[in-house]
Amino acid sequence: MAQYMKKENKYFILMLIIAAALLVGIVAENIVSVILPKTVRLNIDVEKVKQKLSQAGIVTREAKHWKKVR
Amino acid sequence: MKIIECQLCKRKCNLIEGQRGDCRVRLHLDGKLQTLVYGNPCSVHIDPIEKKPLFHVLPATGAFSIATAGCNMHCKYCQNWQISQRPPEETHNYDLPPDRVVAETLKANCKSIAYTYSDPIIFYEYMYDTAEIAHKHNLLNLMITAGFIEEKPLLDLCPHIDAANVDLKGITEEYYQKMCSSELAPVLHAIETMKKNGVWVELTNLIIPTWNDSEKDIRTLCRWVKDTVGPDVPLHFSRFWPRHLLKNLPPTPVETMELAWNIAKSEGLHYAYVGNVPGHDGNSTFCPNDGKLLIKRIGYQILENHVVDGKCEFCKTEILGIWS
Repeated sequence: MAQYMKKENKYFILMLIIAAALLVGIVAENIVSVILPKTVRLNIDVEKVKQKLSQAGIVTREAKHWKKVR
Repeated sequence: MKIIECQLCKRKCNLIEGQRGDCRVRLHLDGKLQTLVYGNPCSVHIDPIEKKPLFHVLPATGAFSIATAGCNMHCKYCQNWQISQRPPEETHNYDLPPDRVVAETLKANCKSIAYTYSDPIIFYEYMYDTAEIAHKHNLLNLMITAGFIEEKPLLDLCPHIDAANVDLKGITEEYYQKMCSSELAPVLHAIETMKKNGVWVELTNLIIPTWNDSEKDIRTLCRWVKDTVGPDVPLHFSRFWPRHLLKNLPPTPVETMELAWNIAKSEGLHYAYVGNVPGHDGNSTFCPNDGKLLIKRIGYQILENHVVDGKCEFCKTEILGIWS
């Protein structure tokens, strides 16, 4: 059938398919982000933190009122 | 990945190794929660005790006042934002361990130490240790705070604190969330806890135009004070001046301050005050029984004092406070 279609119509259908695919992708991503829990990956360079504190002349001391979670 | 939880305030920051809490001064390091400000205040001054404001505690004496960087609230109008909204790396800090705070207080002939300016909750350990030593030298400990603290740390602290001024910033959760990124309920609970545990409490409400200046809000706040902590708890209404993130607002009209003062009196509060309006009658203390002028103030200056042995000089009604 495609060989009997005009060139312009073929391109139009191709654009429609791409647009539909994009739309489905966006909707799927939004659904996934609502269902799945948010995770934030923190990457802290602890040695750098210690270095910066030392440079600033800050001395640490154990605090009260905290607990281990895991 | 190890996680620890700070339990000082309701935020209950969960921290991985190397991560800092919301207050900027508590850090998870080497598997423990560390304070970054112990013994290192960035503000050290001697203030009149009336400035805290504490009107019913050792009038006309100096309070040795200290604060570190950091805070667990983020109020849009903070007058101390240069230290409260900064980490200690960005402030100039002194080396002043607890015993030296007490020594300097005695040297300056002050009768009290005030933990103030930012919020002493976030320099809890420093305040706690200093307060213990201060009591051994018969000094009073004054905590000037927004009251955003959990019950357990507060109960541990109360025996070492003689008086507190607590900012009761508003009377709705919405106000606390939008203005301070915080919560009201823990503050109300902290006020009640302090009162029940022998701390002399005075409250301050900063009135901000268009935010918490409605008659309804002021009346609700006054009713809460009277019904929950009693009519003898002094309530200071403070006039707002544009600063920090609220420079677009005008200062609170004096008429609004008058309205608040009158509402408090009509709701049965015995000691309502107007702050930041020097010369106003609301600067002074009146006897709740016979209405006589007891302590005449202009701003922080005391011109007359008719409280004798904790009583009205004229009718002998007991005036609650810490007078000596």
